[in-house]
Amino acid sequence: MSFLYGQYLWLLAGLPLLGGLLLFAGYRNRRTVSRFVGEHRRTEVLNVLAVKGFVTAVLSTGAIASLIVALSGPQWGDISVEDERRGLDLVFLMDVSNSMIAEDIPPSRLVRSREVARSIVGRLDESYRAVVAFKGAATVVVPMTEDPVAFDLAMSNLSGALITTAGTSVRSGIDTALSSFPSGSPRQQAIVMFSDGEELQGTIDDELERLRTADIPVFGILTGTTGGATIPTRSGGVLRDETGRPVMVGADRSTLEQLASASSGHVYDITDGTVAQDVAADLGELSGRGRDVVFREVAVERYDLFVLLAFLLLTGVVLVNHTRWRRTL
Amino acid sequence: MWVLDRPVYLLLYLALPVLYYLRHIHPRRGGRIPAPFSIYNGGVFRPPMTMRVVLLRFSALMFWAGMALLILALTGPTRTERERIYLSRGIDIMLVLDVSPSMAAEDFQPVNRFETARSVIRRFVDQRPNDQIGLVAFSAEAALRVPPTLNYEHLVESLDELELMELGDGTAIGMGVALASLHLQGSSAEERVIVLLTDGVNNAGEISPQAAAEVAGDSGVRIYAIGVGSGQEARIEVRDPETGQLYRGTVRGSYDQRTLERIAEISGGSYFTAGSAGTLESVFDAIGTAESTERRVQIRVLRQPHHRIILMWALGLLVAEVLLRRLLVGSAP
Repeated sequence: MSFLYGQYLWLLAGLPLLGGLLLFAGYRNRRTVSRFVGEHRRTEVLNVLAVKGFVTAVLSTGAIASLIVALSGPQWGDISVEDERRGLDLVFLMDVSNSMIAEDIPPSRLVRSREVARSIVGRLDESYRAVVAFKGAATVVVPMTEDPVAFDLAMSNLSGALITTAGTSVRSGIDTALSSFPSGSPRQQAIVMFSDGEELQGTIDDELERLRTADIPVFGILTGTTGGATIPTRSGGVLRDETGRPVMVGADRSTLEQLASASSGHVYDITDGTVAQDVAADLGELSGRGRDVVFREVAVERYDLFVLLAFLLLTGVVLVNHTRWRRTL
Repeated sequence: MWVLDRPVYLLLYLALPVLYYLRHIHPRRGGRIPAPFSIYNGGVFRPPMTMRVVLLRFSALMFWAGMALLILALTGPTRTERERIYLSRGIDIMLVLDVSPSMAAEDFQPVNRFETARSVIRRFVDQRPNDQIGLVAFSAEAALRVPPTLNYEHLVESLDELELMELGDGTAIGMGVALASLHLQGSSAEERVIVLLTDGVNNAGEISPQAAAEVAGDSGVRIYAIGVGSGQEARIEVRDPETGQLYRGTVRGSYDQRTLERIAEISGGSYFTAGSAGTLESVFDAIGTAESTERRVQIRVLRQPHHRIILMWALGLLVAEVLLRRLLVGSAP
């Protein structure tokens, strides 16, 4: 089983607190009811109250837990779907934030990204490409085109100066990339994203949903080393923080993993010598060129089973609470 | 259009009135403690409407709303949209637009030649849903603004951002055609055309219009050359985007008809003359008709499920109900 939005599973950590609060409420009720009924059948009433309280707490907590799991998008099993699309529309989503000028990937993260992007395109026949740069905001550098000269020119001009908004908004990047796919295209669509994953801002739940529903995989290429590096400045020094210490930027694959996992994509490491071949091979497979029939395995989301379970548990709460067990309660 | 993936779950709504009856109405429901008192003269006893009673009723409302939303989420509400997929490849068109100062001549209504050209191009683009269209601007120099693309939004944005004189003062027709031709080289389209729109005489650039047309023609690119202008004296007003200086005056003279005819002839295209806004529209209509292709279309249904937001609301309501009823109000189970 895997989860599309695994971060929601953290909500399960709050369940012991909820259970504890319900037990506390039960204890408080016990005292109140005890005072209310006096000596008349006190033991019998309190016993029923205790059992009802316990069963209700278990059912309610179970229902909430089940809903949290449903919200996390559980999926297991695959179904085969025939894919009639052939060829590729690729958006190269390039991180041009300041951390991309770090030189732990020589000559720099950004320059190496450009080289790998060119190498990938060189290995693919008849693909259409767009280039989107992102930082604190995102911009279309080249719209989806078959023109190799425009792509090459765009890659050569790619730099942080294209965008003035500071930061690394992956959300803007994905939104702009998604809007760069022209409607009416009969080709398979994919995003090839180059980023060091450093300090990516904002939640991307909506983008994950859009990628999944539009069936657009993200092939993420982690551009940086875990050890990290300093950021060179124009004056020849390195970027320093307020305390005067050099700013170190590493590489974080978590966001890329999240995007790839939600969209049936994959994450690669730019330090791998065969990264361009690997990405091109996977994209070539996706394009379905040269094959008459292509079937793709699509994971099945099973949230409905957990919602149904929650509904049944809550029905149980109503029946347990509001059915008279004995003549007492 | 909205659809439900699992409409059978709608039947669960039938269970809600039963559960509601059991919880709130059934005379022998649990959780009630019969009290040994009654109103002497037979009136119905109603508890006073305290804050606790209000909260209790509010919590019940939240519970039933949460249950109703759960059923709605179970049915899988999904928004679907139909998308037209073009199975046949359209043609590639490069628009080569003169942005020299003379295009500010006000002999084309309602503003000037340049604004008329922009407006006619926008309309032309709207009518070509399956053709990749690009844009090259030229005056003293030529620059690619948009490569051939189906992303018309980007194309129109770039068209709107064009400014007269942004590439200097001059008319490098040959450079514009050569650049457009270069960006059509990698195209897999069977038909590739350049639509050249100018009001001037080639007086800049290192490539002659004829040489550029020969290169284009050799690679199978047809050129539709459009000469723009009424041929009469016209007022112009143009601001240099670099210095901000405003130039006013009158423009006389016309485009080089012979060169434009020659360009069209060399590449196997056609020459048109547009003396007014209306004629320019007709010229683009004629090009559109001449370059029409067969379109094979398939309909694809795009699905966007909306159950997650409903689930979030249901979860919020149900957790709030439990906390409100059991902790704040202190209701017994």
